[in-house]
Amino acid sequence: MRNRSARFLKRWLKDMDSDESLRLEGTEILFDSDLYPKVIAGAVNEAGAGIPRCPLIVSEYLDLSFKRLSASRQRSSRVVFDFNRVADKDKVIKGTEMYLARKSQGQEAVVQVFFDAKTHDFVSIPYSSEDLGRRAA
Amino acid sequence: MIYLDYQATTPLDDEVADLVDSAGRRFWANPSSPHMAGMRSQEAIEGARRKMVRLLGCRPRELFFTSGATEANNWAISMVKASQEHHIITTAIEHKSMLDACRAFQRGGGDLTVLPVDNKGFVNPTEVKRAIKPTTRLVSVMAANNEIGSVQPITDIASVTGEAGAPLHSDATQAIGYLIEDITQYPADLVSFSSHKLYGPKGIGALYISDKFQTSNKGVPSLLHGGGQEGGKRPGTQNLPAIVGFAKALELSRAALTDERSRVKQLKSMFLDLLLSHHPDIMTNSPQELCLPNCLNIRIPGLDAGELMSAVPHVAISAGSACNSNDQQPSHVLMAIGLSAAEARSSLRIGFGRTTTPEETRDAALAISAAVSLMKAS
Ligand SMILES: Cc1ncc(COP(=O)(O)O)c(C=O)c1O
Repeated sequence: MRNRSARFLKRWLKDMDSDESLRLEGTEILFDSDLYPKVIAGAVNEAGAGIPRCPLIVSEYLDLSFKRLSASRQRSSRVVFDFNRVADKDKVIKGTEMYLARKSQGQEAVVQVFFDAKTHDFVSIPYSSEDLGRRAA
Repeated sequence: MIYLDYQATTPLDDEVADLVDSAGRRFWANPSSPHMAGMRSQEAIEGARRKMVRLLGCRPRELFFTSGATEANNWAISMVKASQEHHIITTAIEHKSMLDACRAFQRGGGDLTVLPVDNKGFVNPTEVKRAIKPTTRLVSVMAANNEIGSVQPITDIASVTGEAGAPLHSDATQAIGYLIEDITQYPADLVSFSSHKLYGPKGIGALYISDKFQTSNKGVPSLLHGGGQEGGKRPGTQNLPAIVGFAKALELSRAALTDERSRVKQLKSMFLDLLLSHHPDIMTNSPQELCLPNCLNIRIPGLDAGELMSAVPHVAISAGSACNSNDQQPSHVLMAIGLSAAEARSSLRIGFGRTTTPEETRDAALAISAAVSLMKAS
């Protein structure tokens, strides 16, 4: 997934207009988030190559998951349940927003299930393309 | 006590109060904390936001929780940098939280126009059009007035502002419970409202900022600075119990919207008819049409409203807005519709609401009538 994300950044760095929700600020590649004041999608190293950060990797992973899902089933609405540790909540939510806002083709939802393997306690938070997708103004 | 002051605030609904209480006990962890208890709090807030946006027809990214409508109004005004090149238009009958924020903008060097209203409290869209300049950055016109109930011609005003490309803000604090259902159909780019006018808890409100405004404005400047709450746009640990209660209060108000609208309107007519049958010289400051269904402002010639209120201590009504009955000035709204200071002082606001019964309405009207007769005789 890291390689897939790095390939995405390589393409984006060549054509930044291809995704206007991202911007380069110094050496940081920032995602314009509604949920967080700052989301770092990646960084540019001294050689000029893009190094993906966790939110972008989560977003690419969701992108792949939804692609697989749509290939396997012809359904108009798709849901991915994603199980994660609570300690990863911010990177996972940032990545979920990055996917739903930038890539989703609509009618998609991600239910983030934060799970405690010891106590079996969990909290689930639903995110949908309807809520987070960017609508043309 | 017969409570007839629903424009000042509404009593907390029992179901909402239970929910606020249990949310405060269950979800006390900080919603930003990266542990299970914090996640539960975060989900409680996001669940409340989802509920509200479904009811209002907007999107989560368009709804920001604030400490009330006062903050929401101040926030909207703060988005325009105070300078002579930046112009704001507002009206003479806005709530103090809007007018004072606008005055502060003006003191800071901003260019401000305060539009007059007619004798029933209506803003003329043609005057809005005339006031717009190339430098106009915001027009703010309230949806419905909190003292006399006049409901502004927002659609016509919005077509004027839309044509000029000036964003429109509207303080819908009094209107949200009766007049506005789908907020995206309401033609303002920014809308302030508050929970405590909807039988919800105090100290919580919201600013709706349309996607369109956010996109054309390239984001949302924040009023406060601090943590990352509300996407960093309104930092500060969220008032979770109040947010949960706010969502429930909105849900309950939607369930009974149409019935409640006509019920309170009937109570209002019944009250006025009774009063007029005893004292035909009583005048109404509120407009007959295009008025909040539950708001009535009347004038009893020659009487002092304060004295009358003291004569009927078991009826909770208001002389002008509760917000400015402290400052001993005649109401700026009543002055703006052309009343003299003496006329403003003889004016009363009566507000009807969910718990008002026809019996209470009759008893209050009779008590006020009797007090007026006594005062006139003495
Ligand atoms: C029209 C209007 N705007 C704003 C406010 C202030 O609301 P809050 O008490 O939530 O700050 C009020 C309440 O009195 C109001 O009636």
